[in-house]
Amino acid sequence: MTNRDDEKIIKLLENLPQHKDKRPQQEIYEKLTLQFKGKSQRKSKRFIPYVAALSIFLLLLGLPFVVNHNITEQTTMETDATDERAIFGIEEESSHTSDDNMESTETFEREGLMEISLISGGVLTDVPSDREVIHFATYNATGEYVIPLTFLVPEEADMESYYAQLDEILNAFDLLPDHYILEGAEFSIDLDTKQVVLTMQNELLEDSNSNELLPQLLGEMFLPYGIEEVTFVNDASETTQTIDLSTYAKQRESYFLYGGNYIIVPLDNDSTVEEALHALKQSYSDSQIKPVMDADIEFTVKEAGETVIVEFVQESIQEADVTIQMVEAILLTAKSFGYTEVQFDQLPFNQLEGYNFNSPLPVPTAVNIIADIK
Amino acid sequence: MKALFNHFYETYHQDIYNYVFYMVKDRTVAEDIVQEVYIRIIKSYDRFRGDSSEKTWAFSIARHAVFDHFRKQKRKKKHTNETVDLGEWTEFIPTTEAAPDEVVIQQEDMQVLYRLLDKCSINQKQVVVLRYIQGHSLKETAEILNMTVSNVKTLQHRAIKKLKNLFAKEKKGGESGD
Repeated sequence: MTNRDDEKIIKLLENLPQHKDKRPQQEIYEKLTLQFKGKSQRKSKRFIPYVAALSIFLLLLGLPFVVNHNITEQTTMETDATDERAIFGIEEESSHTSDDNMESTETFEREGLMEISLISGGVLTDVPSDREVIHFATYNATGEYVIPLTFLVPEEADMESYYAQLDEILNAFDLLPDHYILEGAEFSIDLDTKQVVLTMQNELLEDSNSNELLPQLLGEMFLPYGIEEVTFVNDASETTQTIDLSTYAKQRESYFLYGGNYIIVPLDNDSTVEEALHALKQSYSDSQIKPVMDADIEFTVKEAGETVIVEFVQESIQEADVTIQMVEAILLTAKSFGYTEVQFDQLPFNQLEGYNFNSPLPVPTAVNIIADIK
Repeated sequence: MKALFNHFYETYHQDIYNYVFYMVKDRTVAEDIVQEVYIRIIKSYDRFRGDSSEKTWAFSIARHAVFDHFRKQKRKKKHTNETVDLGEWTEFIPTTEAAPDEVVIQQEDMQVLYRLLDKCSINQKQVVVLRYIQGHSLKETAEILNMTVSNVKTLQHRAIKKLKNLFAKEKKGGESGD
């Protein structure tokens, strides 16, 4: 979908009807005066029975000993926004995610600034209504593979503030490689014009290794927002480099496991989805990269509109072969080819954790959910 | 009190009512909330220091009243009325000068969008209503919502993206259903 679609939606919104209050002005005013009178009358009749008042007084006296003073302090300092979030976001909406893979393991304060819930791996199918996704990326030690990372943040959050702490956040989760090429970068992100300006003085940018890595890294971080161009400027605000990410927008990819996280293995642009899915069985010389599918598993691939149909040969696949990683790698690979759903046929069972194979499964929104930053 | 009421009524009443209506999508509830807004305005006008404009102050009172309503509703464990009052559409005359067929399509599209607004989060919906339906500037919207302009832009972008995707799905569903 394009900017023209954005404009169409905005135009439709601008033309939505203006609702008018049809009550006469005088009627509203009369009701108002009655409400004022009513309130003042109720106020004069209000009393608190002595016993109840005494109980409240005793309770207030005892309160500081019962409740950690931080809680009271926090309550009084809570902003409207927090309050509002509390109204609508109290229920955990992890049911929208492939929640069986996501376990909120711990909540803690990082440097006293953020409340973070750790989430273990997996993919995200639907973003909870009060959260938004921040796309980060890192790479393996040799700089060969880019690993997309996802953080959940409050939907009203200022995206730039998280990107400003990119290396700190990655470091906090042990995801920061040595000499990370975006270390110290300042991000200016405009989602309206779909532009990112990166201010940095990093000699690593001139490293030949970064020529390959950098566009992939930035592509993982910004293509999900529809941003296709990143401009680099130096401290004097002079443009030093512009990277066109659009060529990476249609990158054909397979997903493998790397040290518990997924990695993307880019394929030739003329690869088919079938070839990419079969590539999931491939072994690599790097012992840390694990294929997500047993080499003996056989399957055929068909396409029906935006759905990929993967039909397994029953004799070639056992229950133990079907893992969450295999299912999710297939879904993610299909996504990289632009499909929206995958139908799994002839699996040895119909349900694996949160995935029911009786109907096509939607492709995920994001991969490697690292944490929910409150 | 009457002079103050008249001033706010004449200057902001329909805009505030429109904002409240879009947030709750229920005429009676919207009327009650607007009454409450006047009570709060009259009670607190003495304390209005002019840090923000009168307009954004009045709207932020309306926003608080709307959220108090949702809070009470949540306490009562009742759900927000998300049904579309189609009666509202009968009063609506498109402003475009499109051909009759296009007008019908546009009206249908707007009805879909009107309904999809409820699929947005409350914060996204507020931004959409204030920015696009009511034409407030980014700065005004930020002041009303007590957010930074950057936050408003983020919410605005995300809301449009969400509406766009939902709208495309809806249209696709409608076409395949035909």
